[in-house]
Amino acid sequence: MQATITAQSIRTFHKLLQCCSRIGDELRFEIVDETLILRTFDSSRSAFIVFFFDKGFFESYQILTEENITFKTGLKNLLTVFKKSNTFERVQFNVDPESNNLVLAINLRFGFRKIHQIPYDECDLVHAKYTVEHFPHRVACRSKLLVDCLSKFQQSLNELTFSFTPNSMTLKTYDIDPQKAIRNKKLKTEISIKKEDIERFYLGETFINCDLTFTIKEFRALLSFCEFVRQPINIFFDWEGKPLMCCFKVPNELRVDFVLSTFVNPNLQRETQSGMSSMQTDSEDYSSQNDYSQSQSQSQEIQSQDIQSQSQSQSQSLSQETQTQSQELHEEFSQNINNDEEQNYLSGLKKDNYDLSRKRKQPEKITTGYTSNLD
Amino acid sequence: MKFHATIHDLALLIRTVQSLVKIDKIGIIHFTAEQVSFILDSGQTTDDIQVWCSINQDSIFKTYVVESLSENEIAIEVNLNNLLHALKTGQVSNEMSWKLTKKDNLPYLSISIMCEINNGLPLVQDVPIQIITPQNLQRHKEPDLPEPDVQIMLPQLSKLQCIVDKMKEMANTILIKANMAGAMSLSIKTDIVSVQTLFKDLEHPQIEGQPEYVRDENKTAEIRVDIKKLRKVLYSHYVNPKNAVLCLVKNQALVVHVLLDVMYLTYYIPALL
Repeated sequence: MQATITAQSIRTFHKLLQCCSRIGDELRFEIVDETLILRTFDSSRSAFIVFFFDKGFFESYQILTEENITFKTGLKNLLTVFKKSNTFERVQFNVDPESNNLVLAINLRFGFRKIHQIPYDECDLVHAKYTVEHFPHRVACRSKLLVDCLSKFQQSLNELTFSFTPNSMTLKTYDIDPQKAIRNKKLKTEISIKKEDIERFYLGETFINCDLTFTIKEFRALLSFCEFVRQPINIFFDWEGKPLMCCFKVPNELRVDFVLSTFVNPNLQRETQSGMSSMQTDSEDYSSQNDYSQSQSQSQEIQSQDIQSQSQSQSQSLSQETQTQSQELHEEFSQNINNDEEQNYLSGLKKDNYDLSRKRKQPEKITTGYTSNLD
Repeated sequence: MKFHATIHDLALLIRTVQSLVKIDKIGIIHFTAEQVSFILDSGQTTDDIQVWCSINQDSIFKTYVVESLSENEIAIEVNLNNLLHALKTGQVSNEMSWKLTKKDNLPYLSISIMCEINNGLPLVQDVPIQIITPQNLQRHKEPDLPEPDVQIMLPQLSKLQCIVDKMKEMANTILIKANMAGAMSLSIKTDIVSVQTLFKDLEHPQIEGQPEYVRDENKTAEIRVDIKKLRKVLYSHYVNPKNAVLCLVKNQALVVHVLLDVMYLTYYIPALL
């Protein structure tokens, strides 16, 4: 693959790298059927970000070999290369499969040319399983609104809670366990936005008031990128414990999907019962979904299963109760994108010309089945 | 116990809390009918700086209601960092009101702000507090020091802070000498270097109810204090004081009074012997 980017795309790419570096350590490239897809996820697989590039992002884009490649490389290297990117005039990406190097040829001002060779490792395909159809409720607003609201919270905060009611969305600090707190020392902040002030506020029929709590670090990373490209952000959600999904796109250039796991507030024990039963039915949906995807998709699936590390890495301040009660999130990554689903997603947004028809490969091994800790 | 108030001059309050937060992170706020006082005196137990500050309530608050069983006075202990953050988020807004509330059986100072975002979003900052009972409040008393030996008006505090900043890189303690003839010196001395800054033609404060002071070159005093503590005290230039008075009490403490029309800040720095 050989691609060049100039000007604004270089700045966008640099901002993308900064966003990814706040989420995970590695950037996974997938070059398939004339499309470039970049992915990063954090070590506990609780945050996952995907960038789908369109031809409009590049000055030129050529596929040199027929093969599709997936590889990963460390973000630190890429960030170092792009450190002074405001002096870059043109960057050319070249994938060299013989030496397993990603070659970046950079043209600077005054005729200077820098060539970086960044080694990569071949790796497996890892996709976020969730697509927007999984989430019945959706909120869309300007990214600046959320950035301004977040600025009212203390910088040292670890978690944030989104509280949804039929008429409003509230951002507040996460209350670990107010009954048990001997001396609650944290500053509590709460800011509420009425639904009239939000661009799109669509709640499905199954909506019940819910509080979604998640680690703020990755969300801030996403918001800073979204604000940079000045696009509205769409937030898709379902219920506490189920992940939150954020999507936005830069027309003709880039589409971003972000999946973030949420944790269950242990104070809402009773309501969680009904939440759990809804999880049961969902698990059936997921397995049928998997059957569907089995027949359609032909790539390897990777099942991740790490509650403890997930909870531990999520936040130091999480109390023991929260850790044991937080819902297990077995995020199963499977390929789940095809043109029909794409159309559904775009029906609420402006349509564009992503070509995601993919050549299917033979599967090697497929693991299926969404399991929850209720069994 | 009831307390609610709306803020009128947030800037002064923020500048005051900014100066105080440099000294210690926990402070006591004492609300009375006329004054709002800040007491930072962990120094009583730790040989650290003590700050006693008092502001006229009507210079900060527009409306102000304090009701309690103890002569309508309320004392609370807060984390000043939390308070400062909460106040700063309200800087751009039009309205800020304070209220004492209890949420889940825990007391909070609830600060309600109508943000500037989106033409007005309600923001609530709940600062966790502890209520100080009148008996406990009695234990916090301003230090009882003898009459100072020398009292002198300080030059601009920000300039002083610059000087002390440079000195702090070189030494740990600073010697302050002053006399009743308008002369003052700050000096440090180490094995390698000694630095001295001399001031002259300074004024002396005229204290009400006392006879006019007599300029006396021979009446001098000197005190050695920890340089970092002095530097922290000099952050009080944030409040843009009208006057600052330095009082030297030999062998005991350095007292700095920072004065505005509506407010005073008094710093007690223990002397090093």
